Amino acid sequence: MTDLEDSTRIIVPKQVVAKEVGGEMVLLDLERGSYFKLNVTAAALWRTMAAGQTLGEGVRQLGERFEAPEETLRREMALLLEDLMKERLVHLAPA
Amino acid sequence: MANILITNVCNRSCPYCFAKEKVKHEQSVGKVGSTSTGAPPYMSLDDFDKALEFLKRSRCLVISLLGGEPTTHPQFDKILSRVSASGLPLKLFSNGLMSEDTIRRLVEFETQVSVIVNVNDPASSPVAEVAQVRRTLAALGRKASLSYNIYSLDADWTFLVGLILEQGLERAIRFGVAMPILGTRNVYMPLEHYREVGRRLAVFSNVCAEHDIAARLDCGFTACMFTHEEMGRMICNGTDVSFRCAPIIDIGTDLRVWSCFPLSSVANCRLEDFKTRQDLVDFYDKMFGAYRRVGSLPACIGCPQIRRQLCFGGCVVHSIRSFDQEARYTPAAVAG
Repeated sequence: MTDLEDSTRIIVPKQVVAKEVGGEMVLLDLERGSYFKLNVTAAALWRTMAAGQTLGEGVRQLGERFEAPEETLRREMALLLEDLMKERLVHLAPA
Repeated sequence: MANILITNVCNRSCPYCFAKEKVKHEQSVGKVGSTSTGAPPYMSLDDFDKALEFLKRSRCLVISLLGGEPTTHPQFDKILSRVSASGLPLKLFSNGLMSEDTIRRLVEFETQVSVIVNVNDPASSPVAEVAQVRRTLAALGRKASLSYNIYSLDADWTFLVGLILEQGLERAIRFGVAMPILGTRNVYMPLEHYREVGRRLAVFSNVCAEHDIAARLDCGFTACMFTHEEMGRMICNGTDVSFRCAPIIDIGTDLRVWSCFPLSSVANCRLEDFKTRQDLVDFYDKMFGAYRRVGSLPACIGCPQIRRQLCFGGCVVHSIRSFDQEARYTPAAVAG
């Protein structure tokens, strides 16, 4: 699993666009023509980080919303980012 | 097929006009000037020859002319002669408001010609316009077929059957659904009304079948507009049912090209920069194709018809707007 710091931020590449569908999120890669659907929780994670928040800020915000332990959220967030990076839907912003 | 837009002047003003970005209406241009895009009102004969050569090189099997109203081109007769010399059949998209001389020329045209006359609901059209279109249709007879753009739920389509039977036209109707134009505001059929349009089309296909009229759905329709029962009935009634959205390739009066009218305000290229139509199709498909994989509606995500590419979820502009990406393709954004 990717080792991420609380100060980690992501960059959404220009060719990736997103839309919300019933609380879920669809990410579309315009160059590769592939799309990914995020469930409600993953969509919430995506929204916080795509809006420019750090991993730490996102975890805190989602912790309040979902009443989940921060450690669980941090692990879920790292797994999601790992998947998204593998699919080239996000990059890690330089520190 | 690629379309050659020989003029951007039109003598009719339809609220849903999908060529709005490219077309100027006679009354608004006065003595006819260039459009806001800077394109000349009429294609020169030299440029027409280049476009024709491009179509031949692309192995297109038909010459498709449109506008504006193509018959308003002052050298329309010479253009017809060039089409005739090419030996390829002509498909002419017209609104039917043409001169007696032009009608005569088309009736006597030596090459196979099919005039697709786009008609509007007579109840909401000027009386003189309706009468002129009827004269054109009566003269063209089986050389003409009808085309109708659905932009309102109020219209009664039975007048189409009446026109075909009374004027002895080819027994075919092309149905289009009025589509949005990226970067422009026009009247179009909103997606939330598609189901009702589908229901009405299925009912109307029964009327068509009674009179041996084949209806055909143009691009932009969606599979989920119809129930399976309705779709089966339409197929049995001889309706050409398909749910396409793909680059068409339109060639403008100054040899600028674009993917299709809903995308006509963006990503215009020069014809001479591409060898064949397929090169242009590939170019535009790379730019906009991804949107067609996710369609426009929430139900498109994961829909088997979309996955199998039997449906593209309506016009690509609906999909672009659903992602809120219209600004990405405005001329300023592209230039930047």
